[in-house]
Amino acid sequence: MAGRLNRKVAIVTGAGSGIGRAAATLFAAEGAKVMCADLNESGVSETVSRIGASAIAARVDVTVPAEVERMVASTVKAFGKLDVMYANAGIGEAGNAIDLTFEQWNRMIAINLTSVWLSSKYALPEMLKAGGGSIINQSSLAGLVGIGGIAHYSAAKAGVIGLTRQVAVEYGPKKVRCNAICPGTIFTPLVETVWSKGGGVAGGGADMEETKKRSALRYPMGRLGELADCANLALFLASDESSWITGYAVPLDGGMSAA
Amino acid sequence: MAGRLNGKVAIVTGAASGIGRASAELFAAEGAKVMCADINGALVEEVAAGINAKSAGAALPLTVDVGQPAGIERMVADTVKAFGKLNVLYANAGIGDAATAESLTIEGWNRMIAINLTSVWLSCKYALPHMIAAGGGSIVNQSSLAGLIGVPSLPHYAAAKAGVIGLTRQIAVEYGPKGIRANAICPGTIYTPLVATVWERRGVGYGASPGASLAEQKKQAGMGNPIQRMGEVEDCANLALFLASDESGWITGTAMPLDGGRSAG
Repeated sequence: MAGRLNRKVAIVTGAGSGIGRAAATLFAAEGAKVMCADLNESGVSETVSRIGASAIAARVDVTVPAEVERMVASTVKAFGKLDVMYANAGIGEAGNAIDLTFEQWNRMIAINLTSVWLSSKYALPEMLKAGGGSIINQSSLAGLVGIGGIAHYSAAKAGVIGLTRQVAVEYGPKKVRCNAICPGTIFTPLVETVWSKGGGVAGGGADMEETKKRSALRYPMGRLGELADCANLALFLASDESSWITGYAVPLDGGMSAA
Repeated sequence: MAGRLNGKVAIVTGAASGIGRASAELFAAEGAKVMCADINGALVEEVAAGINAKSAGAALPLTVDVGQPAGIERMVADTVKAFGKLNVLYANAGIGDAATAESLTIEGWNRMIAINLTSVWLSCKYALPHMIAAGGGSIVNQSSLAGLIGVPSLPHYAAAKAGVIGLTRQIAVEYGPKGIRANAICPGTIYTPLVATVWERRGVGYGASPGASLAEQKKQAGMGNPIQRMGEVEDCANLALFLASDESGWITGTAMPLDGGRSAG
């Protein structure tokens, strides 16, 4: 089969559920060997057992430098090289600029921003050795436009975009590409966490079905995102089809940021 | 074969050469029926024949001047007549020119706006009703890096291409509820007949030394991008394919830089 990622080796963080699991599954279906990393050991084991022989699992806390370093090293040990890093792991939490505590802020920055840099820090030397690579960082619509109730999340996700552009410009001459994905609402465990505390484009609320309907109407396409929407974009950015695309924060938002 | 555009009908304007040709060929290879439109009738017939030699009946050639509203209306009507519907419009046709804001004439300005901006709106105008009837569709409009950032020698081109982005966002927001997506592609320098025209009129390629050979100019122009090469027509065709396909079903209203990282720096 002419897989779009044949002979590539990829790491997907946050592969234990949601977007990460969908992307890891699609990458493998398109021919890649995939390291599936997650803090949730049972989730990531489930992902790998669904994929089969082309995937391996690792329990990784992406905020700990030594663990990220080990994740990259075990990937290269298992599969011989590293071509694609999808730094997707992250958390959701509601909080406005007044009520947020210092601890909440620092935890969000560590998990949703610092971890993305660490993933690049340890992936880049391997990609330089391989003569190039593609880094995909998970940002958010909240990194592009203001969304209520998520001050620290917005700061972290906009930070991801800044980092992405910098890495793209600095390592482009070495054929390493770096792009960010900026999804609007895709109903994952992360979004459920934010909504339950009143965050999100439709102001959240305990009734998830009702919030889904209200939220969908905020998007010009009239629906929320699906996991496959994000996995398909990550696949395109991971593949050589996008080999002249770098430094871009791609809105994946049913048109919301165009309005 | 599991083509990424199986069952789709597409129009590609400017299909006789460069990016349009590469895209028409790729769309057809991925299972689409393609109306190949261009002002250069002889060349576009060759392109369609080449496609049909690989997949019989996949392409039709059409001679169209996108500067003429009636021609565009006929292009859309002929497509629907031949293939039964319309799912994808790649409004790619355009011209290159070089001037400064001072030296540009009103004729030069008007011609550029007509061909690189008004034609894009007209293509959408006539395509939209058929896409609405089909329950949705994907419009891909050709903008340019010059629509995102300032580039020397292209005041009218820059205005037209930025206009394409504004139009694209507006259509995305207005027709999203009908299942229609609209995105713009913003390529940096890809050496096509259009760019050859610009370089010829400027006297030299972007970032290149006067008097250098064409090969040397191409190399120098590429070095200004973080990914240190110029674009290839395949880079653009691959992005157009992604935007045309259902894989990008939640992506609309974007203006995608295709520039080796230039606009990130």
